[in-house]
Amino acid sequence: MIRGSIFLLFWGLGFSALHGQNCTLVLSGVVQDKGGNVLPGATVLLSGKAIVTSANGTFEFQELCPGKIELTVRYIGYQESQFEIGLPLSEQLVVTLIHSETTLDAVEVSGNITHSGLTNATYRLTQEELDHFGGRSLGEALNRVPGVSALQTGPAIFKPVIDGLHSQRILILNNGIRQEGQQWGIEHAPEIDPFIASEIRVVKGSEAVRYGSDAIGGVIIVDTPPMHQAQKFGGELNAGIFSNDRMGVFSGLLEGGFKKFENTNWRIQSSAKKGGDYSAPDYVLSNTGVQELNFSGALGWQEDDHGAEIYFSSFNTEIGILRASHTGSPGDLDSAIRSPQPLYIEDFTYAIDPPSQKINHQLLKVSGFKKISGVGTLNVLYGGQLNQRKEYDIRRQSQAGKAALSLKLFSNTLDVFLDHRIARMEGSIGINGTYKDNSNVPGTDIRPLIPNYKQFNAGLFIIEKLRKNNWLLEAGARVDHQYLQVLTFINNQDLVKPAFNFTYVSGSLGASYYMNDFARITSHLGVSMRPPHVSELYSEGLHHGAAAIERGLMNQDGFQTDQSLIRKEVSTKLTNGFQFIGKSFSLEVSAYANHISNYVFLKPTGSQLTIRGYFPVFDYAQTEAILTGIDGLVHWDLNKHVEYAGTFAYLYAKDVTHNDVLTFIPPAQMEHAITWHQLTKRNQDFFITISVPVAFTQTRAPITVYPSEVDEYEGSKVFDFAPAPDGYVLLNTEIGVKFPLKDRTLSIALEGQNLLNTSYRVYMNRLRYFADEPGMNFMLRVKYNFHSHE
Amino acid sequence: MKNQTLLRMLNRLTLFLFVITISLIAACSDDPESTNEEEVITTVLVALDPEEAAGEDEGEIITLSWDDVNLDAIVDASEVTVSGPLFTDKTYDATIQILNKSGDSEIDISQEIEEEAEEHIFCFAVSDAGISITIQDEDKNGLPLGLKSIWSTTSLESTGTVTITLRHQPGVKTGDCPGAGETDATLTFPVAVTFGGE
Repeated sequence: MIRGSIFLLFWGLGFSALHGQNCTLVLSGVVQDKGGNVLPGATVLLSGKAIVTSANGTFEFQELCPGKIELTVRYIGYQESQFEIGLPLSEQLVVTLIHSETTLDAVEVSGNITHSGLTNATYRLTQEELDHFGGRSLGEALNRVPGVSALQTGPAIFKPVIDGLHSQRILILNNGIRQEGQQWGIEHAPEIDPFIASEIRVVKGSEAVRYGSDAIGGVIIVDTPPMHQAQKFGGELNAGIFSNDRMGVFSGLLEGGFKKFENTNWRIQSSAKKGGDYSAPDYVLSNTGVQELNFSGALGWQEDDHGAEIYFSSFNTEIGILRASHTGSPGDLDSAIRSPQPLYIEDFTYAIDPPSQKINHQLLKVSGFKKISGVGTLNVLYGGQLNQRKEYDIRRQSQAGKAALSLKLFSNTLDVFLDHRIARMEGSIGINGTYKDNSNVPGTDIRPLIPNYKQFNAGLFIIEKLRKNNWLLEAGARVDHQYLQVLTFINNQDLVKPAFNFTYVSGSLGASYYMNDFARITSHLGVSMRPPHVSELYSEGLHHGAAAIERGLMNQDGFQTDQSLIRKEVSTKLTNGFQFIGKSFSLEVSAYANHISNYVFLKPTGSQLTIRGYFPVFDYAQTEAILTGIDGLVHWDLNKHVEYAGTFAYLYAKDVTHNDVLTFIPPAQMEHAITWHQLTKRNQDFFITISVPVAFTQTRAPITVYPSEVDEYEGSKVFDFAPAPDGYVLLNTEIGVKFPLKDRTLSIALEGQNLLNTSYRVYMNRLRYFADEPGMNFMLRVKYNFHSHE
Repeated sequence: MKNQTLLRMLNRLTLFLFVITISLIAACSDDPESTNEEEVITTVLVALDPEEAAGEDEGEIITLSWDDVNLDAIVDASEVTVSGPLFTDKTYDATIQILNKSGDSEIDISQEIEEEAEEHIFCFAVSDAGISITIQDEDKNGLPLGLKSIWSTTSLESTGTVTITLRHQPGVKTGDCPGAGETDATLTFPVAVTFGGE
């Protein structure tokens, strides 16, 4: 009754208002998530008119009439919000969106405006997605993203590959600091614990303008959770067990504030992992155990217009390399490749023996920011890292226990940049400086694979973005200088210290057009340059792991090559993307063409007879290459409970100069997943997913030359020691439930991988010469979330 | 305010860290030294000592050798030498010596092999030459080793090759050739069996 009369009153008032007043009201508001984080690029609909929130998450409607209006707010990954409000409002409208449970996240519509490529194809792995990968390595989690695959060395080492490029051509940012490990190495996985991340973004296009030449192929941005402003103590615990390698994983995070110090927060986190040998369906993959112990801590302080943070992380791991993959001579490699089963199979054990790797990575970050009114925000970021890598080989008893490779890399980076906004233009201008010192720790008694070196890089960049109507335009430019000093030996006797100076530029242009509030197209053109890495210049000698003799660009024929013959790689990449986000259907497709001149690769140039037999000789060389492809994802809500998610990726690569293929290019693949959701009466979130990954045979694989045939091979086309394995289809499933417990949540998930226990080999796994991939694996994961605000 | 103290603390901490880093940069990495590789094999010597009956003259020892004189780890044809032919109807006591001459001092790897005999075996493969080879020595498990062997020639002249392969078989030695494990060294020598030598 009362309600009815109030309604009448409003209606009456509204009616009279309509007749009496002008429609000049302004409605302004902000869209944010439950954590208080603003959501830029969200769509706000009113009476059929749609606007998109700005970088601050704000929106404004003008010329409105007093009375009731209905608003609809949408954002990818969140539940749509539809509500009524009455105008005029006395204060700014705050719309809070609730995150929705999706198994695949669509493209970030606008991203963090000043830091990553807005017009570059960006994929975001949210906390939900990352939870599915709890306990597994970073490279495995990234494999999920269309266009990203992995270069593996056995079941525990995954290196991310973005659109066919990897190692020193892609950059990983660890909490804002460029990760400096020995990423040139084919068997060196990134030393990051995915448990530290609350979100991982993959930018699949050159971000060299913002970050320098290591980002010529793309960037992987690993972000830790933002330091919460709450003073209450909270955190989360994760635990997991895996059946195939009998692995246990545990991770815990605690955070809080200080009663005495306002605006200051702390966080500590740790994770531990121990697993034994994996098993393929027919045999144990002996010596593939893993153990890991990591921790990190952060202390942050933030006022309205300035703040600082100090962050420290330590990553420590020991990884076994399949024992059967270790061969000393081409004759043994040949026997191993031709054998249908690994030549070394023992019973399951947790022990990790040679061949193995042991890596310790410490990282320290100190950062601060200050908002300067009228100018923007000044950011200063310092990162110091120490990476120690030891690789153990099977050695004679007298040498047992000594590492075969022991590298120490000490890196420092300093970033100073100014984020600014002037009218509709936003941008960033800054400088990056990096100093690296790499040394071989004496005591291995084996000639080092790469020499000692010191490297100094400095870069200056500017990126500007302009929003106009439905357009977003972006342009960027960067200039870099690199000074490299190498300490190497001629004939293993005389120490020489050649020095190099490289100056190079990068540029990018991008455009994004919002066709309507459902679709947009993007286009990005990036030109970047990359000087060859020390490993490409000075690699020398017999690489047991690769069963080949490699010679760097500077080391050919035993002479020291003329420096002027060394060219920088120049990559030109055009990426076009189309994105459609409808109510129940969304589609994202991106097609790219990447031309790289002076592309550094390993070319076979003959064979040499050593005391162990005929080894192929590969010289680093430079050629003209093209990588082009298309990938995307589809998401379809079939009804209230069932959704379909699919991804696909195809890449075509060619060595244009030699009319040949490129090695280790991922084959076409796709994945289909169907999920059924149910929200129970007690507000429990239940789901079951069935997914089918499909990989096709790599039809553009290099020709096959078995190790025993190497001495007779006269050609110059690149070759592989064995034919590419056949494609495969797998069946995976996951069942999970999320219980709210008062203001906390408990998630339990049971996952089964390779349910059909299929025997298969993966083209991108370097150990496919020796053994199958792991068979069935069941995982049980529990996550208890007791953050005090979320 | 307490925040100011914290700010000062953080500032000082940052400065402190900077200083540490700069001094670390300045202090670390002296020049590297060239590596002395301990496990490299540079020299393989096979000495064939003919057995004489009582009263006969001492025959000459025939040597098959590979010596990596330029230390480039490549088996150049010029580095493989055979001192002379074997003679028909004779028996030779063969001894193998393996050395690492890459460093300042000579390392006798065959001695290490003898000490780790249960992890090693020499495999002999004869092609077209009229020689049969029998291993004389054995490891502590009674399995053959091959540093010492007996080479017997037939009564016909022939030419061919003998391939000697050193297999490293920790934990997997069965006495079979090639068996499991890895090849540490393999060399093929051209050999001839001729009349004469009385």
